Amino acid sequence: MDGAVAMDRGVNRLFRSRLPPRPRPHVRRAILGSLPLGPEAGEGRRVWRCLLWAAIALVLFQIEAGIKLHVPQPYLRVDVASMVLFFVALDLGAIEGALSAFAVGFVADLFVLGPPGMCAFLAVAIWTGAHLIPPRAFRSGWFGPGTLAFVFSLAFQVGILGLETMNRPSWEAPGRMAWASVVPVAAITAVCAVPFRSLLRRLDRMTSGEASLRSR
Amino acid sequence: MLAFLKRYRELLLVLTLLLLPLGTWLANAQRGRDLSAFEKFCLAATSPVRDATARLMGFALDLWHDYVDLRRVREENEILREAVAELQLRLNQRIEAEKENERLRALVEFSRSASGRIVAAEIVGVSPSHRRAILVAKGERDGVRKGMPVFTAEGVVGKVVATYANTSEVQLVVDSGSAVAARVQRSRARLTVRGTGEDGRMRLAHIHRTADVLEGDVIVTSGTDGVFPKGLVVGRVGRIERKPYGMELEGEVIPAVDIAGLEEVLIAISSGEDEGPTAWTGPSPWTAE
Repeated sequence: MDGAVAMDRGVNRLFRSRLPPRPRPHVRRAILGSLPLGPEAGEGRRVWRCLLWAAIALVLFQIEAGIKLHVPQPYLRVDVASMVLFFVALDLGAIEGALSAFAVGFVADLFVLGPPGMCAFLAVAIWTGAHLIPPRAFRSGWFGPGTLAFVFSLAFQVGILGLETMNRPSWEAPGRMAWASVVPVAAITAVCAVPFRSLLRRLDRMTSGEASLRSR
Repeated sequence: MLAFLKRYRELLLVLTLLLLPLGTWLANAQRGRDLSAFEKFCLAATSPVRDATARLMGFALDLWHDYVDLRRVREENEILREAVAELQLRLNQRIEAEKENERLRALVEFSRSASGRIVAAEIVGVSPSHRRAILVAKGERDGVRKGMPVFTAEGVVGKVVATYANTSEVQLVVDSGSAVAARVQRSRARLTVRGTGEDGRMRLAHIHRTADVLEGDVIVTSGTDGVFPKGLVVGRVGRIERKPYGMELEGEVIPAVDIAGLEEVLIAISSGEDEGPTAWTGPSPWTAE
């Protein structure tokens, strides 16, 4: 009997080894079940890193500001906030991810110079929305993650411009040029976001001491 | 209560993180943005990154613009070189035309001054042999015959030694086989000028050692050789060597005509009413001195 069970286990192990790795329960919940999110063991110890992601976003915003000084074309721009949010939403756990999204949004607020809280709200909203997407959409290849990054950027920019349009009088609302630049900027962001995510994942592993949560 | 918070802490956290900025935004939506001290610190602390990036970007763009400018300069340089070459060509053509005009005008004036029929002929060839001869673009069809004198406004060039239908061969006065009966313009002393085969030098011959000849004297044709009309300038006396022995003087004559620079010449087809050698009485730059 024991031998049969052991054999059955051996077959199962062999069969399972041919399948892609099954996500852990807390990861599944974090993606499909969305909210409430299961706690990740040791995630609380990594919450400090939301400051790291925010700092990276801040530095990237400054770099972009330096570049825009010489390349003022509105179409040639990377949506830095969306690029970092893309990584935050896809690779970080629930608590760290939500806080990081808020921090990145806070940094974006500094540069957008709209009413305070606008970008932070949008960032957390997009992060939340990203957790409703099935994980298969962005687990492999370049197309899925690229499309997702495009959608992220599109949503973030349209959100900012929409809220600005709603909030400001018509003569102060974002102009046609700002709306026209949304798609090209989202496309450029999508192209940059995928390799940038790989870099941030490396940094994630270096600072956490283990593999990225949702990639396991 | 604690269990509820613990169970839904992520949900509550996300809701807080959504509602907090939303509330802040709604509260401040109609007001302008004033950065807090912390926000200002965040921006100021990272502003060196922006400045460094701007400098780096500026440097890279300058480098690129310099490169592009260099390429443009190269292209522009090529275009300008072509333009300069074309303009140089046109300038040369114009200078040539002016010089040709001057020469032809001198020839025309000269031919008007001379009696008899004179034709202008362009030089179309130079003898490739040791002989100093040229080929001119007037021949038998133009009335050119063997033995006719060839000259320019400056002086004697040579004589026709062979004629063809459309061209003629002219033996130059500097040819070693050439001899021109001449006279010292100042003293009227007779002599013969022989060629040496060199462009810039002829020699005196058949002149008595006591003859009145000085360096710088102008030599003109005497008209006694039956070829050249009288009074055409042959050249100027150069170095004279008076030896204590012998019957004749030795000396050199510098040709009046720049043989190497000849382009057009005049040929005396007929020598005037008497059909003898034409007596040249027109102006000459050398005789005028």
